[in-house]
Amino acid sequence: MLSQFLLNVNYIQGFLYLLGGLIVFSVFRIARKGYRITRSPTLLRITVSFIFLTLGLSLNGFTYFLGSMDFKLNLLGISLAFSSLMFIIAALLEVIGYFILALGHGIKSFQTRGFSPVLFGLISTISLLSIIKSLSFVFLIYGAFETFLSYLETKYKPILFMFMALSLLALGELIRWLALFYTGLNPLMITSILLKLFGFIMLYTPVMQFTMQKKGE
Amino acid sequence: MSTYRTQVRIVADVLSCASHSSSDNRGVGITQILQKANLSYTRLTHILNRLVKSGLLEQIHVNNNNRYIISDKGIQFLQSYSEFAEFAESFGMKL
Repeated sequence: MLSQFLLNVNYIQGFLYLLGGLIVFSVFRIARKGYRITRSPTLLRITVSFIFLTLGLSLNGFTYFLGSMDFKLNLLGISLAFSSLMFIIAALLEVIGYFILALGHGIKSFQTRGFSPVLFGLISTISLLSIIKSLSFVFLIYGAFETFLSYLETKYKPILFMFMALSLLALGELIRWLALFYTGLNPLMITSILLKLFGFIMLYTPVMQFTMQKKGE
Repeated sequence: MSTYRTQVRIVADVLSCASHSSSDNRGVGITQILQKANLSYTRLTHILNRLVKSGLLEQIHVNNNNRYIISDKGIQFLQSYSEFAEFAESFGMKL
């Protein structure tokens, strides 16, 4: 019974998203504290971006757990499963979060390198959820690219962790699409989950660094 | 290409300038800050007034001249600024 529960791909994904939600929430808290003290627009963008990411990832996590108690909704004559609606809302919240994070990099690039084009990938999928998810992927790739450029400019090592975090999350998302061709807990799904898990752990580095710095004082 | 300094960065530059020069408790003059913070006179006086009002800098009069000393609140602000600057730097961004 327990092994069945643990091997249920929905529950594993639910746990992963909740863990991600917790990690991005800790980033949000530090950024909010920083914004309150310094009133810096950069910290405001990080704060707002991570509020959306916290809400999106948590909603995603809870929806995976609630999947078994799904019911149909009738919205403007369209019949829709409750969990599908929640996944769409969660994906929208996530995409807004990644967009604001990418926007922060875009503003920085505009100030330092003049005009820097944002590459929007080709959106070939047809479902609304896939379109939103693909936007998340594009913003993640853009964020990772800009973060790497920042690392090349400053050679500041923590930026590398952020680059790896965003790259792993993007790669995890890409492999998740491929995993959708198979059912159940397949190797691709496991790889995607592991990549995202490492991505979220890497995302925690600025928080860890900040906390250690505080303790050292 | 040079980057534009944000308001918070300018404030940190002015405070840092005042903190480096006020170790002898005689404060720092407006000309010194002008040179180090690289600002126009009008803009600097406006910023200095704001910083004095908010308690980050203290204004003293020495030989009929206005001089500025960083307050404890200002030192705390500078510390927090450098911590959060490092935090933002981890994201590849600047405060």
